[in-house]
Amino acid sequence: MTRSVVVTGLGVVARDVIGTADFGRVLSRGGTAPEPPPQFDSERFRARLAHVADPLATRAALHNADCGGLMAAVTEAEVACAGHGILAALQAIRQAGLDAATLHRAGCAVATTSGGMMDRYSDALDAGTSGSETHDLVVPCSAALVLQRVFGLTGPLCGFSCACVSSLAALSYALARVRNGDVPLMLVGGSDRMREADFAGFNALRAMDRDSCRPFDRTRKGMVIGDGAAMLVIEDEDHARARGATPLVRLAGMGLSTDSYHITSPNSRGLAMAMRQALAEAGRSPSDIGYVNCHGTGTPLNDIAEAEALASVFTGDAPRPIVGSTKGSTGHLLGSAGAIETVATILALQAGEAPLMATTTDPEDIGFALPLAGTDRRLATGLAMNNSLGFGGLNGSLILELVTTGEP
Amino acid sequence: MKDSIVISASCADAAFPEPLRSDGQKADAAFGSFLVHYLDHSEYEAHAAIDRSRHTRVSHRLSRMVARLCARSGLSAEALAGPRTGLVSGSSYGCSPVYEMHHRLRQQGPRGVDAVRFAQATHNYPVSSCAIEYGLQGPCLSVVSTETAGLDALQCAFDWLRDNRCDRVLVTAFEDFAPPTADHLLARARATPGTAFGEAMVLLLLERETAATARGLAGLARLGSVTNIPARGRSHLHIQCSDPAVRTMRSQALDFLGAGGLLAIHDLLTSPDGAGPAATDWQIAVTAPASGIAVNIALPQMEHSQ
Repeated sequence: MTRSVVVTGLGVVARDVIGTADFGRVLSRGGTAPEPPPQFDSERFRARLAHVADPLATRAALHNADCGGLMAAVTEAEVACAGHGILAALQAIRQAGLDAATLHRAGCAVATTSGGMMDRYSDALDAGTSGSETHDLVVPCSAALVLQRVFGLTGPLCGFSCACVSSLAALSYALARVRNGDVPLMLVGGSDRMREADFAGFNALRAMDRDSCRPFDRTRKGMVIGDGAAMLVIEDEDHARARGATPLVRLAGMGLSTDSYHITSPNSRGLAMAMRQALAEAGRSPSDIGYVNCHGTGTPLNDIAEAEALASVFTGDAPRPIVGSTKGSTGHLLGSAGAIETVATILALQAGEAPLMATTTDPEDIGFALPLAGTDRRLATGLAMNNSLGFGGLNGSLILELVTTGEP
Repeated sequence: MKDSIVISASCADAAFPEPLRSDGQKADAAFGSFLVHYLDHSEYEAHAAIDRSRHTRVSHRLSRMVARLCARSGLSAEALAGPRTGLVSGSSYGCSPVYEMHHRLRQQGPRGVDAVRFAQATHNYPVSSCAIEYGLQGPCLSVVSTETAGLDALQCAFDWLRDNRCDRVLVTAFEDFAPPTADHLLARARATPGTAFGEAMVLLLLERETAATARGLAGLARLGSVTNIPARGRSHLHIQCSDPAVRTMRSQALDFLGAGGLLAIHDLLTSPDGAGPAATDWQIAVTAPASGIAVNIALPQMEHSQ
């Protein structure tokens, strides 16, 4: 039997954000201007700005957090590796109202860009030291291992590193585990820290904007990288209701596809396929969707392909969703992008309003309403879609359905 | 009747434990020890000398292996291409170009990071480049987990087939060692006497039984279930037959990390000393300190035809 799967807890750590209340405020005002990352000297790069979650604020929040006996002591290396993820997970667990016994049954699926601390281990070796501080946290799934240990999770564990579609990959895995009855609940999301190599790479690709990320703007020039984490507790709906938890949204449909076209250049066909799959799995038609949180990186190649894909799925005279991107506010969290955008989408459904795209001031006409300053951003339905695209032509599409309080 | 999911073909390359073989597979002589063992990369190195923009070591091997797998399974390039074929990889350490990027940046500054190398510096590059080469448009993901990685990837493939996201899935597991991964492994091996690590790549084809038998394939391994099992304190690969009279296959000579589970399945399907006609139901389980996963397969009338 296929189970209905709901989200019962959310957590998020990003620039100026610790928790969903902060995140809601940032999304409603459209974020603030990016700044040079504190982790390294960005002056030697063409584009120098990023949206970086303050590692000291994360450390302080973890230190001061009321853990309620839900987590073990965390080492310095674990904080350095996955501090944002631990903090976001704790928020999600608290919102879900999990007790220790229920939490321990959970599985864990965590997305990441490169993952682990092999970079710091390598630096240590180059410096002639043993690298013992980071030795146990070098593999790409280290963030998942940290969360599993800190929260004492005993269910399935898996990490995903598939470029910018990693988080939706993790969500698809977690969804399958719960739907299939393998486990009643999963902790799932993405956790990333700013890495100089990623920053250098996107600079080398000339995919970064020097000023700000402006999705679907005529003057867009690329992305601005960000870091942080977003975690969700997803749960068998019957299990959630039986323990008195409040379902926030239902994970209604998931689509996964590949462009089979180019390593760094997206193609609209693949994303359209993923969106159609997700709609079919949810048993919904395009006109049921009230909001699409696009991948929306602000690179010309992405925006063009994504607009084409949307136009090919949302056709005819039927009502069209509001289409937006939150990367102007959060930056591009790469492997964790799909997770933070899933949280943004859930908050949008709860608020009944699409997040503001404050950086987009000279919009292209893509045939869809954009949630710009001065426009009506109210959502027409309680269904939303979150899309991610990744290097290598990977695509993911997730449909979320608001669970209303009147539902049994 | 429910259509079973079968493993219809498999391929594998694995490092040998013998040191300094003449065919190029050699132990890690650079370290003065034999704790880390490599595959023969000479074919890739010859390719890279001409064109380094297309392939990494892993994507090059995977590309060749997909062709081998198609030949073994009777699957044409036309049948393979399209949205009904998925591809998923599993690895513990992932792809070494991801780590080389950081090292090049440290050594050479921003000039050391070029667009081509950066595009190759993702753990999904091997599956993505193969998807492009072979025209695969189904789900395509890269799992990075622990020693369970290959079986985790197999579980994803099983999910996709069960949920009808596609009709067939290429499941690969690999380990690719280059500095600083090799340095890390050497430290691990020294801390755990008796352990030696080996590079490997395994590729399985999963599909529905009716599709495989329609192409005339026989001796297929039915995939019964993929289940998550409790973690154990130490990593362990366990291969067990339902018939206690059948001896369990010999354990692997090297620790192939995330590739070990799929390699055990490949060995079971292809090794003449692995199973006999009476040995039908097998469980391959990998447990690690953080997780565990078990795959149950049935080998009806095992013919070892591959």
